[in-house]
Amino acid sequence: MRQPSKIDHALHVLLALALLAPLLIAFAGQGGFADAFGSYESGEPGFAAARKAALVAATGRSLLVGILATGMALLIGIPAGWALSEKSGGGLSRKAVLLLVVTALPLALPASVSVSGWVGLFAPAGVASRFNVPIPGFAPESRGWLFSEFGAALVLASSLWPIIALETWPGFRRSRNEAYEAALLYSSRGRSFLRIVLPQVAGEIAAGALLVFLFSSTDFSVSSLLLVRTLPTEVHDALMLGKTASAAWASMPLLLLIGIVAWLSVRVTRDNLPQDSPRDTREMPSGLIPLSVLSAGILLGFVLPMAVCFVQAQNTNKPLSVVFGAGTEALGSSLRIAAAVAVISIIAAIARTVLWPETRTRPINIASLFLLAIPGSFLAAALLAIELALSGTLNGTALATALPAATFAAALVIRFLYIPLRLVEEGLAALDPDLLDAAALAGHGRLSRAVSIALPLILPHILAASALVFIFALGEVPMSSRLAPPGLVPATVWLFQQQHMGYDEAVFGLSLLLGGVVAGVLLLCGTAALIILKWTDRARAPVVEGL
Amino acid sequence: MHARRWLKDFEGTVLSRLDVHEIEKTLSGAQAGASAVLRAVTFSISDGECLGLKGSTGSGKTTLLRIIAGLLAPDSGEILLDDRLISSAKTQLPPAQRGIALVFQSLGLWPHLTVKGHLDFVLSATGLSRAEQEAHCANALETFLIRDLASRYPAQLSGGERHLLALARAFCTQTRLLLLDEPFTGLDSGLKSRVLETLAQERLRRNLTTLLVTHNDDEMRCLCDRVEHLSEGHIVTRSRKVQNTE
Repeated sequence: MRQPSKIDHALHVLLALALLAPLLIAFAGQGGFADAFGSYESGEPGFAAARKAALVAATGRSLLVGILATGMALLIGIPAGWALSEKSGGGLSRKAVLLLVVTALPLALPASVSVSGWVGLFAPAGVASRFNVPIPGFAPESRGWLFSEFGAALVLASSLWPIIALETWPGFRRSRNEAYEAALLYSSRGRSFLRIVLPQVAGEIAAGALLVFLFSSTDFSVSSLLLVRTLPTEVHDALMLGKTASAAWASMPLLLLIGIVAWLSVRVTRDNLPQDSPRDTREMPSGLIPLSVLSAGILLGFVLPMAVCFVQAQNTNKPLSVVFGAGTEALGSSLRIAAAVAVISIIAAIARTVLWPETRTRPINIASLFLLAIPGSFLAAALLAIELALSGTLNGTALATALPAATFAAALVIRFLYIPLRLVEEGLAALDPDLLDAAALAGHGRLSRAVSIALPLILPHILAASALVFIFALGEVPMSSRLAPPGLVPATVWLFQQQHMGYDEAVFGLSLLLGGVVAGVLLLCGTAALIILKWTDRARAPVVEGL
Repeated sequence: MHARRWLKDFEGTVLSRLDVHEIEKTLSGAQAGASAVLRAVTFSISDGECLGLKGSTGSGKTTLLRIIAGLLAPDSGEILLDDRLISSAKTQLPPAQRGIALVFQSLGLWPHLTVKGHLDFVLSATGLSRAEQEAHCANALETFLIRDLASRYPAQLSGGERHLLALARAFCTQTRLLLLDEPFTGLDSGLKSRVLETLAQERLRRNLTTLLVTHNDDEMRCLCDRVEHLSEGHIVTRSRKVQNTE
């Protein structure tokens, strides 16, 4: 792709700043630095020191969970990406799309649903909230290994490893060339992989690892449900008390870290976008270990939680209407909201393509990655402050009634904007520049080239982005719990609240429904992508090369 | 470990005989369907001999080389190296345990390793001591005239230098059989004669059993003792002796 012109670059920077500006408003709300860090006099002796120590400990726990989860995700994601690069075949065939869909299942499963499965398996009697209430005169109850930083990291890694696999498999595919075969002539498969293949895919691995670190260190749902007091849970608590400014200030240690990591991640990703149709790709078998790891990853991240939820829901011996009935209303609301957010994301993706079909939008990408990675509660705090300010102005008008729903939808769109931007950019980068140049030579302007050439060819990317946004919006918790309009309880918030009370048939029933919905959406998206690929004549079968 | 032991057992032995017997291979493409690439291919190369293999594009030459190297398994038939079965439908000795070097058409250089890094990687799997590895490495760099380029990466080498590096990599260990897959593609005539000359000298010095795939008669004349012709998966010309006019 080409470098943007100075005017385009300035526009990108302005848009990036416009995206980030609302965050500043959060600092003007209730509470503040002194409240967040305990530097005011509360009257209680030692309060300030205890508050600071709690925040330092929470930051440390966030980092520990992030590092552990990233390490575990790498252990699964790298072999899985290698196996994926072999099993997916040479082109975007039906088999390849199906395999990608199956690999994405753990990532698509809402985090709170994963927790249902893990708790159902390892701590079926565990009622989360009871651990928070010490009973006077009794020793604190043992929580078990799942309710720890390690447990949270394991659950997160089981969901997030597909990021590394999906980020690395195109690179692995490219590295299955004659250079790899040359290494096999002199060295074992394992050593050739470590010494020859891995260094060539280091950029993609680093990009995937940084993303996993960002998402796991700023996770709220899993940490909260497994009673690990990370910084996002501290931020969320401040927000639920109405202290938006305290929530914003408490986020500061993580914001700094996220800013650096987001910038690094986009830099690393920039030079490692997948290329189309590697020509040297060979069909050397990966061996049993990578394939077993890929299968185990899908088992851990999707099949196991779903199977446990199914068994637990059945064990209650209650009618299906009770098992599945309790959360259906919440699920219906969530589906409507998620669909609206997905549609807006498609519009955003189309707008990005039409405006800049031949250039990258790095500043906007960095800003959107930052917005995806920050604690959701912090973003919610900012948008809540804006909503409160606007509701005062619009008081009494028809717009005031629609404001909460609009704020909620806008929050989800902003939160997941990185996904359509990233996928659209990958699609555009994979296009042969000659296609657009030929249209330019024929006298077509930028808009015409974007609409007639670029958009039809990246439709599968836009479709994949909308499906992912739908799934992630469906599973979002921290923002939904604060910004959902009065009378609307999203499914994952309903589930999250129930999980804090206990894991009963309704929890497992709704978990199953949510898992079924995300699997169905991914499958539909894969089918639609295949149809579009055939339509655009890009679903070429692997060619037998080098006879 | 197997590779190291096997190579050490044969240290000092450079003569090798290759027997390819009734090799068949079908490759599948989703659109084209399955197509037979090799049909009952049979030939032998005796100790120290260089066989040239000619054939049009798509006749199965590269597939045959990759089967001999162990990068593909045959559907049926057998390949023996010094009477030891290395490939059949049921038995497949891993490539690294065969002691076979293959110079690819694309050369297959490792973009993240320097010239010396290439040789170090190959030598580190041989079981030689560090000092012996260094000696072999220095010898290969000297022989193939790339000593001054030791710290450069492939992207920093010219076309001819890359070919010399690919040959140095093939020759730096105790190779038993050398396979060359159109290794001079893309070289201009001046560079090609320099690389050819170096290769021919070193091959003769070691009396190395070699199989060369090429379309070029000059390369055949310079290196090969006899020529076979592969057409539509069959060997169609039986052992034509090369007339060396030089």
